[in-house]
Amino acid sequence: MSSSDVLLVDDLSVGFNTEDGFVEVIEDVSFSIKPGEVLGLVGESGSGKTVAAMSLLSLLPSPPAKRLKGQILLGDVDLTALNSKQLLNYRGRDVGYIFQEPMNSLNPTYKIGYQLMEPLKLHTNLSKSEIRAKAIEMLNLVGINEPERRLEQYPFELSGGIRQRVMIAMALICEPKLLIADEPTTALDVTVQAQIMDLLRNIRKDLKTAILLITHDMGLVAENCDRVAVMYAGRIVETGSVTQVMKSPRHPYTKALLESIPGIHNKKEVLPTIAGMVPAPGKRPVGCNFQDRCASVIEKCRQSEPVLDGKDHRVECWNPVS
Amino acid sequence: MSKLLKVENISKEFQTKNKGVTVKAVSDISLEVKAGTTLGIVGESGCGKSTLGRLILKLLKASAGTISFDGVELEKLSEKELRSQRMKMQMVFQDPFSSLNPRQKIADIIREPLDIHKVGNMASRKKLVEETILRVGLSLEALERYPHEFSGGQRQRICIARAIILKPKLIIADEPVSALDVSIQSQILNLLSELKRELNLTYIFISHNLSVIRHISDQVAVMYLGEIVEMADSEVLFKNPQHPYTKALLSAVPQIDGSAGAKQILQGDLPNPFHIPSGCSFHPRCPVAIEICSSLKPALMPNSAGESKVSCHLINPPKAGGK
Amino acid sequence: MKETWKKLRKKKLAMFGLVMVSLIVLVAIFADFFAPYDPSEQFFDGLTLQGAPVGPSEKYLLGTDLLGRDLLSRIIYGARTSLIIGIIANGVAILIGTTVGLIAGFARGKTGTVLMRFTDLMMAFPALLLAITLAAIFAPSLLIVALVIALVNWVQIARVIYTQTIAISEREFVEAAISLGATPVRILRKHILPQLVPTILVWATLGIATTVLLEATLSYLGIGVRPPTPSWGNIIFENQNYFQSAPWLVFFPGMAILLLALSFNLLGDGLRDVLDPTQRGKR
Repeated sequence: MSSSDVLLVDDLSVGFNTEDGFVEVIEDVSFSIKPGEVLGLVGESGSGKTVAAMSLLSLLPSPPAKRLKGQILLGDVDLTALNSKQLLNYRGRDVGYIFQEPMNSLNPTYKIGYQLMEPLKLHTNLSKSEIRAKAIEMLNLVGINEPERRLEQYPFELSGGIRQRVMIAMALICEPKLLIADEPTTALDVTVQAQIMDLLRNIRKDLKTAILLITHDMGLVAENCDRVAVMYAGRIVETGSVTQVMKSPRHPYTKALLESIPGIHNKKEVLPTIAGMVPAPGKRPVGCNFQDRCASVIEKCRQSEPVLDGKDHRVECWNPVS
Repeated sequence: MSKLLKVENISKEFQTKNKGVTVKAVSDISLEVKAGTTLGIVGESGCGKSTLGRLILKLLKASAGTISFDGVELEKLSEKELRSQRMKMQMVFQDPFSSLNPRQKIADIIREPLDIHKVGNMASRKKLVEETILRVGLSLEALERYPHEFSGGQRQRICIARAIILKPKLIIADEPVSALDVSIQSQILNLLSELKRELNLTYIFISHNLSVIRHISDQVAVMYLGEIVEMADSEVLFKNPQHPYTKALLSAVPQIDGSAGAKQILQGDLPNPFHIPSGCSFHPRCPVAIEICSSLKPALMPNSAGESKVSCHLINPPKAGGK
Repeated sequence: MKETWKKLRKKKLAMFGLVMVSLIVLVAIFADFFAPYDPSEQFFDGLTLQGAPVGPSEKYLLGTDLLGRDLLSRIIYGARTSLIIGIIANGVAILIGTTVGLIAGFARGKTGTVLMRFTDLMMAFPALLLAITLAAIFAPSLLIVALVIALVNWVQIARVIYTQTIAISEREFVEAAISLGATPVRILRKHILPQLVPTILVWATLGIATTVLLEATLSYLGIGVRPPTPSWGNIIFENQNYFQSAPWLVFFPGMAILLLALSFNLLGDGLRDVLDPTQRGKR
């Protein structure tokens, strides 16, 4: 827990006020990212990974969302202690966001140039010509040709891949220390995905930006991340370097997940599966959330929530895979 | 094994609002599917694979070409005969949320094919519905509920139940697991494999997900801009891809064990079906395109080893003098 | 169904509307029981010595009209008239509108275009003018008035059903039904029509308000229900000359119309919110 971390999330719990009462969606979430590092936050639907990502800069509408506890440290600044007005300074400047659906994230009624230059107008005192020059520089950086022409185009005139590049340019234009990418390529075709991930790798190399990559795709994590945190039913169940977690997963869920992916290089007759479904928030059992689907469940799992175990490669499990 | 399905020179053009401008979604596709096998059709957005699936099932009317199913030429059938033919060919759709009528009980949804084709009586239909719902891994009490009470994976099971209850010969699955989580995906894929063996089904499996296609298909066809660019047995295609697009596609898929090697990053965007390039439609993005590629369209032909059918001038150089 | 009722219960305004509507319907059905007097009976003491109507008093709770008849009784029986016309008119309008919209939306192509252009044409006619013209041609009876109103009102429903049918036809479960071999009739009956039920229900409730208002307007203009059958509109029509001297004769029937329209509107609004969460956004 050094203060050289770009981001430090400690014990974060967030829930929502619903018709049926307060429901906790993510619980005791802790992770950290060092400068220039890429952390993958991996989980399926219902794992809470998007809620976790959105909570970092209070992007969830509150009410009904509410942070129950936990700290979010961006460098030395405690984001949880700031009010919404102060947080505005950090969004777009110190932290950039890319979302899943580039079509929905870009305003269809404004030109690309206008939207791209907006963060600079908000966060810096640069002159108009300086801002424009920076915008063109960013478009070049993300591999968009004819940048001057593109500035004058509207989102509907561009393809999905180009839109996502524009989103990346917008997120990076103020040179943030941290880029949060929430399923940035899920809506894109696989060849376009390869282009975008290649771009992100280059950006990380050139600008030394730290990246929080949120995804459900283990393959993406394996190829792009340094470390990975696996989420299940609102909790982080395993953290470690990508090599550690992929090659020797300790949590039964991680192991089962890796095994159930149809690999492109080996054809298996019957795919190993994980029976059952993720428990919904509010319907999580006493003890470990994974107990009903776990191949190595023991008595203790049904009684109390497992405690974090390990140093670099950490797992929350009473009976981890050895 | 007999040929269950034979598609010859199928094309589909859509008229657009602009007079005279047509979009060719599917161009001159021919393929055969042997009974008891699975043909995987893979491609990215805009390649026409979903359109092809619908053309085969006659949900869309083809602009040209013929479809022979189980020895019957579908074009020659009347509306009534076609409807009866539908008993033998069914579809599982991509979105389990929208392919079920939200106002119908599950029992009614699954029984509908029997009602439409007047199979048996109410008692025998009820029994068949019960057997089928159990077969796809759901309980009997699910029959009295409505679609919105189920998760994506469960709804897909219901869709599969509806598709198999008439014991069809062919099932076309259009991205059946794309909307599902990985851990649920594997459950559904296993179910589909089991059913294939039990009921001796033939599948056409459409997907953009190469790993899934690899796992479930016997033969694979790769589509690009409305055409098949490569077709081969599954193992052959994945171990020894021929067409430059296939190679790029395979290398683009993220691998867990990082064994994909250096990535081939294709330049440019996915092409627009409105502006199909001249000659070989892939040539603007092809890393190894040569001059002839921009003027002459390659034909889908077996390569020299005879294992794969490829449409590429580099693999199958055009005869001297041109075609 | 149960869920809809539960959600509706939470909406206070809609429940108020429902209660009021039920009350009005009850009163209309059991008019014989609720009305203190015969609505056509002219009372000797219902008029002053000068022959003017009597104001609200102990005997005549809402006063009397220009012929010495008890206003309350006339209003109660008038409820019956207004509701009958409202229900028939609305029912017929929904029938015609849904059929036209459904066929146009499902068949599309030439049939659809022809039907919808015809609908557009009908819509271009000012409703009131059309109603007046039709009413003038056909001798008015309760049924004719109802049909006239229906002929004016069906267009709106047709348009809404048309666009919805198109949207529903594009949904995957309709494609699934086609792939199963369902005939077009079956698809309309089992798959498209049930999805339209919320819309139809909402239009049914909201429609009663407009039809009652239209009936009142027609009666007020003298081409609606003919006296002595009381309807809220013709009560106002008959007594309009007494507007200043006996304002209760205009006020009370007007209030009745207002109350009915408001109640049906509130109920219809509530139903629409409850049955179509995508529109308003669920909380």
